[in-house]
Amino acid sequence: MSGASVAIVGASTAGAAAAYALRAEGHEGPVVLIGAEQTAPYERPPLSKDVLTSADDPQPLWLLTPDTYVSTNIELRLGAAVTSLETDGSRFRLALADGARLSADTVVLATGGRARRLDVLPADPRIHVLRTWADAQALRTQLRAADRALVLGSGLIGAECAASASSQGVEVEVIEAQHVPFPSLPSHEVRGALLRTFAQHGVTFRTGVTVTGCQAGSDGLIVSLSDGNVIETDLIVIGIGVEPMTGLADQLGAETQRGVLVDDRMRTSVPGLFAAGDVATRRIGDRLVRHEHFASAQAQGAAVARSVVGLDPVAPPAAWAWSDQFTHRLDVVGDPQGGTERRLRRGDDGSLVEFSLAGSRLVGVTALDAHRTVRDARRLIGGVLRAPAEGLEGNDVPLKQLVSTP
Amino acid sequence: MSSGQAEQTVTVRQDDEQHESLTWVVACAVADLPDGEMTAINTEPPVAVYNVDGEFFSTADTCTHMKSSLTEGYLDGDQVECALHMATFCVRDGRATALPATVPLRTFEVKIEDNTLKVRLPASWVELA
Repeated sequence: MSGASVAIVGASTAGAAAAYALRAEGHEGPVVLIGAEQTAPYERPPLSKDVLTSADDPQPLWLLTPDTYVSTNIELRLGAAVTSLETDGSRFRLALADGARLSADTVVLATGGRARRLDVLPADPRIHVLRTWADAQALRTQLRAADRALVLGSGLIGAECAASASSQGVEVEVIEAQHVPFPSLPSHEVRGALLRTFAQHGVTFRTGVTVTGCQAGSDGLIVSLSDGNVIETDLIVIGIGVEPMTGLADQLGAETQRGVLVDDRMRTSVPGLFAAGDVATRRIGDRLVRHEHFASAQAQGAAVARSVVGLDPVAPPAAWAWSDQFTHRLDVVGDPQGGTERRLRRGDDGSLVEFSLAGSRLVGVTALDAHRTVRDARRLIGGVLRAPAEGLEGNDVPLKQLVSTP
Repeated sequence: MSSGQAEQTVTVRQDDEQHESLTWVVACAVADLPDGEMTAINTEPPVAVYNVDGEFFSTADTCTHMKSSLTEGYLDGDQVECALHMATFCVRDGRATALPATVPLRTFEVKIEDNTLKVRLPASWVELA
């Protein structure tokens, strides 16, 4: 297998990690990393934070340094989406948007997702999504001239954009279709603490409403809401999630389940075709899991590389998502929704940790400004309590003493 | 940390062919850095020193991923983990051992004299501090 050629479709977090890990695991055959964007693989987390707020012209944070592609012989093809993918059962043929054709023994799909838009909104340069470097540059430029911004959705991207815009002096309003702000955060207390911070910065929320229309005028956008209200704004950021880009998997008839379905070795139902990152739905035990977070994409990139070179899988690390909003650091570890009981730890320093337990097993943690506990939790998710659950509420006991290593 | 603590100055040839003047500076008293501990020296940029089971090492303190202080993170054996995004490095040779870091840390020579831990740093890092 070590001489086989690997085409990685998607110069993404998972794609770049896969290419890097293939070489680290000793793969000697050709590796090509194909990206639809013009930019070499970069980190997306800063796009909703530093890229929007930095005073200086932001530069991409490269996932791999430019000389890594040379020193490890990874071919980078940028600005060319893969438009078709076929197989004759032993080799894949890829057609690129720039007319190029490639073939490969193995294909890794790391195509990620496309930011969702809203049909009721017109096409207008003041209406943004945030997924790519180009998206972030466009939003940054307009935010610097804007007085008012409307953010649709208060998931991690929406909340980070709202905080970044607000910290730039923009008056921000957030529209959340669900009845609570930050609905993806599985802790009432953490949501409450965050909401207080947003309120202190003057960010207003409207929950339980949706956008029903928008008129694009020369001096602003006039947005109608489902509750009859009308808002005027200078720009809109849509932060309502992504659609996994499963088109190429569909062309080959690979099985999909809200993403390209993969097994514990990141294999799809088509031999030689693998998937990793936001586009991949993993079957873990009896659950189907698709993550849209940086750490998971990186871990999956490394996992797919192990699999391609024929190594046994290692247990995936506990799921982990982080977010920076104003001065807060937010972490979600494991699967907090999978618990049946919750325990809250309030730190004297204002930190909050909500532990989620299934019986006596720690299954998830939602934390605000609690680095050390999060760090321990990443190693202890799945472990069993050594002491009564009330112990988790005590401030000064390291988690390691309360939960066994899984 | 002032440049007044510099003991000797030598010139070495670096990989990038630039001449750089290195100088020994006092990091801390050996007794102040117990097993399994690390601390940062207030140079510019800052430098980290580590005690791994009685062996001492020194690297740049700044994570090569996103410029966070490694001594704000965790030392586990000879691996230092960044608190921000959990990149890890081997403090013996500076190697990046877990993503998201791929670029190694610069490492520095250490020695113990008179119960004091000293590290050999670029003179310019010390002068600016």
